[in-house]
Amino acid sequence: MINHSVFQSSPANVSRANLFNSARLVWDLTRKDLLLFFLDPRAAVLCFAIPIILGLGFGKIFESTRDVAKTKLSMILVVEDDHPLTRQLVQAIRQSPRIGIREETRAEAQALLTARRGNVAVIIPSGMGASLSEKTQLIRSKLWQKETEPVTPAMRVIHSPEALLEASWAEGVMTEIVWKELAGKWLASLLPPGAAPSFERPFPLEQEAFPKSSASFNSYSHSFSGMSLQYLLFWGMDSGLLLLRERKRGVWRRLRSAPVPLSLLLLGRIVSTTLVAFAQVLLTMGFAWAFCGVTLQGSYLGFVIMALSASLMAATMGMLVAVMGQSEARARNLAIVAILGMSMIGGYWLPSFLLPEWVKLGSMAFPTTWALRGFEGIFWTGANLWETCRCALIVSAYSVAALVIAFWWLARQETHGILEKGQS
Amino acid sequence: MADRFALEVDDLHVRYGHLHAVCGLSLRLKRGESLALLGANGSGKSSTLSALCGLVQPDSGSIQIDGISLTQNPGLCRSRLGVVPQDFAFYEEMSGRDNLMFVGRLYGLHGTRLRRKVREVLDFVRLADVAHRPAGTLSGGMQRRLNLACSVLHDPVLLLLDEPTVGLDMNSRDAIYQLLESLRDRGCAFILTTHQLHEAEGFCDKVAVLRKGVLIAQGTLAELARQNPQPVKKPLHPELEESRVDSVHHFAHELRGPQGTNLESVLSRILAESNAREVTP
Repeated sequence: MINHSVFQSSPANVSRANLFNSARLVWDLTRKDLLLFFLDPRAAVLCFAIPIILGLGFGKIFESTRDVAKTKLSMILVVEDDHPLTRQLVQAIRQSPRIGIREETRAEAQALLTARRGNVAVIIPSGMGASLSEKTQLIRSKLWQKETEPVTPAMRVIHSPEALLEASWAEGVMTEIVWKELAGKWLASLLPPGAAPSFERPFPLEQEAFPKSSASFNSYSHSFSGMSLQYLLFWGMDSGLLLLRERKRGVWRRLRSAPVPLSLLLLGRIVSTTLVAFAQVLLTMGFAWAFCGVTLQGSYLGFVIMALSASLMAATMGMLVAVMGQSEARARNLAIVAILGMSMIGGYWLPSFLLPEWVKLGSMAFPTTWALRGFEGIFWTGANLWETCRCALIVSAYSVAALVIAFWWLARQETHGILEKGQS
Repeated sequence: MADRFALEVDDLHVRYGHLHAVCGLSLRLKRGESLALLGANGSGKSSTLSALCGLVQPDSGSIQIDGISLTQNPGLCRSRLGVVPQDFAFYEEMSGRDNLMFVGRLYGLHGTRLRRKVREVLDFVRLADVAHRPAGTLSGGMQRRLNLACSVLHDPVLLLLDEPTVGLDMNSRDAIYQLLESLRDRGCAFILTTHQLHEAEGFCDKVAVLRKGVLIAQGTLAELARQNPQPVKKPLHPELEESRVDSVHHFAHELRGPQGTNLESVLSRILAESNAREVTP
C-alpha cells in the first residue's frame, strides 16, 4: 500500500510540503504533455517551422514598402495621341521618380486589369495634345477666354475595383506632371526673356517616421511578430482541443479520478502549452534576427517578459475556448472565428494603421492587440522596458481572467454533470 | 481491517436538471468483495460510478471509501480508488511503461519506488515484454490489461470496472478475470458493470440491479433467488401487459449471456416484479 498521506488536505498540512507536492504534480502533468508533443517529431518540427514560413511570406509581400521615399506606383500608360506636346508629357511621366510605367494599348490595359495583373491604367486620349497646345497658344497670346476655350478630351484613369488608393495616387501624380509641363509654357510670357523658371515644390518638406527607431522599418519585424502571435493562438487552440480529446477517450475520467485537483490539471496543461509557445517565439524571432535583419530595438528582458505573457495568453485562450465549446467540432469552429477575428483586428495580417479608426479603437479591447504592440515595441519602434511591461501586464491580466473563467466553467460542468450527460 | 468496509454509500441522489439519475442508492462492500452493478442503458450505472469517482457532485447522500468521506477528503479518498473506464484511458502515443510512470506520479509515487511498482504491475498483467511499445500498437487484449494496470498501480482498496472485457475474445476475457481474482485475493473490492450475465454470475459475490436510478434488488445470487421465487405473474393491468413483457425482454436482450443462466432467470423475475409494481395504481 502506498503512503497516502500526501493527499491529506487538513489545514495543518496546507504548508510548504503541500505546495511542493502541488508543484511536483504540475510538473509531472507538464512533462507528460511535453513528452506527447515530442513523441511526434515531424509534427513538432512543423509546429516550429510554420510561423517562420508565414513570417517569411508576409514579410516578403510587404518588403517592397520598406523605404517609403523610394516607393513607386506601378501604372499602365496608354497613349492614344501622337501630338508633340503629348510626347513631351509622356517623356516627363517616364522620368518621374514616383511612378513605374508600362506602356500598353487600351485593349491590353483592360485585359491586364481584368486578369489582376495591374491595378491602375492612365489613358491619354487622342486630341489631348492638340487641345492643350491650342489652349497654350491662346494664353500666351492673351486671347484666352473661358467661353472660347477648346474642349479637351478627358484623361481616363481606370482601375481595379479595390485599387481606389492607387487610382487617387495616379490622378495626383499625373496632375502634377501635366501642370509642371504646361505652367512653364503658360507663364513664359510673364517672365523676363532668358529666365529659366523652376516649378519645383516652392517650400521645403521633411518626412520622418514617428516614433523614431534606431533602424529603418523592416517589414519582417511586423510579419514575424504578427504571424508568430497568430500561430501561438492556433497552438493554444490545439492544446485546448487535446483536453476535449482526453475527455472523449476516457483519459479525462482517469485523470479526474486520480487524487489531483482540477486546478492542478488545468495548470499542468497551461504550463506545458506556455513552454512550447515560448520556444516557438524564441525560435521564430531568432530566425528573423539571424536571417531577415530583424533587430531588438527594446530591452532583452522586455522581450522575455513579453514572449512569456503572449505564450500564456495563447494557452489560456485555447483552454477557455475548448471549455466553452465542450465538443471538439464546436470548440474548433469557435476558436477559428476568434483567432482569425482577433488576428485581423489586432493588425497581425496588415499593419494596424491601414485599418479604419473604429476598428483600431475596438481592437484595444483584445489582448492580441496589446501583444502585438509589445512585440512591435521590441522589434520596431524601440519601446523601453516600462512600455513593454505595460503591454505584458495587460496581456497577462486577460490570461488570468481567461484561466479563472475556464476553471469556473469546467468545475460548473462537472458539478452539474454536464460532462457526464454529454458522454452518455 | 478485513471487516472494514471498502465502500459505504448511503442514500445517494444524483440529479442532472430534471433527470433523477440515481435515486436513494445505498450500498456496502467489504474488502475482497465484488459486486456486479446491472441495469439497462440509462438505468444510472454510469452516474453511480461517476459519483463514486467524484466526477459528479451528488445532490445528497454520503460516500465513504475505506472509511474516508469523499466529500470531506476527496484527495485521500481518490488515492484509495482505482477506476477502469470502458474506453482505453491511456495515451496511445506513449509506451505502456511511460503511461504507467505517469499514472504512478499522479498517485504520489516517485523514484525507485515508482520504477519498482511499474515493474511489478507490468509483470502482473504480463506486459513486461511489450512495455516499450506505443500503447496504441498493442492488441485489444493487451490494451485492456494495460488499462487495468494503470488502475491498480497504486494498490487501490476499491476498483470500479466499467465493462472491462467488452470487445475481447474468450481467452483475453479469462486473462482479465484471472487478474481480477488475484487482486480480490489481496483484499481489493470491486464494483463491476457488465452486460455479460455469466461474467457477473461467475465472478461477483453480489449483484445489484438498477432501474431508472433506483436500486430494485441487491444481494447474493442465492439471496435474490430466494427473494424472487415465483415466475412472472399476470399483471394487474392487462392492457399494459404487452409493453411490460417487451420491456423485460428488451432488458434481458441487452444483458447478453448464455440462455438459461440462473442470474438471467432471477433478473427476469426481479424486473417483471418491478414493472408490475410500477404500473400498479
